[in-house]
Amino acid sequence: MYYLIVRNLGAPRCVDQSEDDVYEDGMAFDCTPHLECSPKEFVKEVEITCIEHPDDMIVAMVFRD
Amino acid sequence: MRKFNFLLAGSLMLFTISACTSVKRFKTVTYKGEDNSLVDVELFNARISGEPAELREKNLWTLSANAQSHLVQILDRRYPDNEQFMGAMAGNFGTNQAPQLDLTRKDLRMVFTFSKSRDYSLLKDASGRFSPADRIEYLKLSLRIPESYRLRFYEWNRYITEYGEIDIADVSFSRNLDLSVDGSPGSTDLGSEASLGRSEKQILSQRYLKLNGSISDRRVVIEAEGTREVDLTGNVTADVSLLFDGFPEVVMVPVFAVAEDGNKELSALNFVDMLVPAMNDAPDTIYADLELNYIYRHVASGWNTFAEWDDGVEYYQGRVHKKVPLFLKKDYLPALFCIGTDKGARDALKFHLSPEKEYLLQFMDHHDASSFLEWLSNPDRRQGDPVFIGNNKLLYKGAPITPGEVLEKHLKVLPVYQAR
Repeated sequence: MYYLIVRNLGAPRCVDQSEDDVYEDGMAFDCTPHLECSPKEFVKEVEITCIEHPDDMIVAMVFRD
Repeated sequence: MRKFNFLLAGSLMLFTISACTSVKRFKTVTYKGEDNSLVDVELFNARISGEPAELREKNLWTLSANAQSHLVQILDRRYPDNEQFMGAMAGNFGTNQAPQLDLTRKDLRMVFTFSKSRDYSLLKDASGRFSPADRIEYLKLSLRIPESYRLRFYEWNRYITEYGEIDIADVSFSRNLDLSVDGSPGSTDLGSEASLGRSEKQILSQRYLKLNGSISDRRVVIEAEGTREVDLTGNVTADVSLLFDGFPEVVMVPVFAVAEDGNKELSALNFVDMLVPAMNDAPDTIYADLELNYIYRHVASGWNTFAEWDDGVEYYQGRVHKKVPLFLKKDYLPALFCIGTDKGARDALKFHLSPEKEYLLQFMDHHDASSFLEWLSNPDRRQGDPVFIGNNKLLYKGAPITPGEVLEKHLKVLPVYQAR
């Protein structure tokens, strides 16, 4: 399982999960959920936008279990 | 010959009068070069206003407590059906858009102190660069926020100097502070003129301070120029608005009704969208780069009189550059509260809508969170049954939670973002 984790004001949150690594730069996600995740291994960083506030790019991390 | 003498005397008198006028700026002037030690600047105080939280839409949650209670009673009478009642309560007035709270804008009051280096021990020393008549004649102050903070200046609100106050609501300004005076503020009893019976009274509107200011995304610039006898030493207060990049949050607003048995019943749990400052980390202090460029008017001779016309002036220019603290962590972290435990790993309650939509159960203030916790841990509830709100579960560490577990695990109200 792959997890998309964003970090704001020092607090990480898991906003999306997928069985495959579908995460790429420029994708847009709902950044408000706090999903239960068990991230173990860092995969990569991607630049995404939050659909609620699409003006700003943010750096998110992809992990896998 | 006699006629010539009269002419000569008249010319001399005219020369004396014109030479001793207070309208002159100085007697002599020289530019002496750069000296960065003559003036200093401090950000004496940087204070942030309370959260200027702005609800962009009108709905039940934007009303006062009294108005909320009245509206709930009215809706209760109008919509006896529970579902219709809940729908009416969740609606907006006059718009279909959802309400949004914005915590990204901060109003900041900065007090800058400009001071001269006053070395009285070198007062009569030729190498000294201080006299009591010296003044800061011009200054240009620039405050720059590093890009890494994702914070920008938005607009000026007010600019206050020792000489006056300007209300501004724009990104730039250019103003003069004027003073209408009867007589020159620099005039003294001019001996030769007194004997000639001439009074050098002036009726003038003297501009004594010229101010410019501008704001760009990362930089605020203040430029001030003092005219005759106006020293820019002292405090300057600048009120500005700043804007963080926004990051979306969802907060819950619980609505309670008092049941017939006197217990509080949760009648709705509403979601409100919110924007909080977007910043990867939360640094303890946000710093800005402060730069001051100044022109210093040193009076090398003639400083024993108040008037400036007899001054032997030496001009110096200088530059001061330093890093100053602008915000502390507690100033910009949003005051949101959740229910959980901070023993070991920090865990908090979540609201489960669907497998892709689990939200942190977070509240806009401590009171809402405590009321919810009080309702949740009410001993009259069935202690072994999972808590449902509508059709949705409350989760703790990924599993449904019961009122008994809330008590057993000593769940409490915690700040979502920790200032320390």
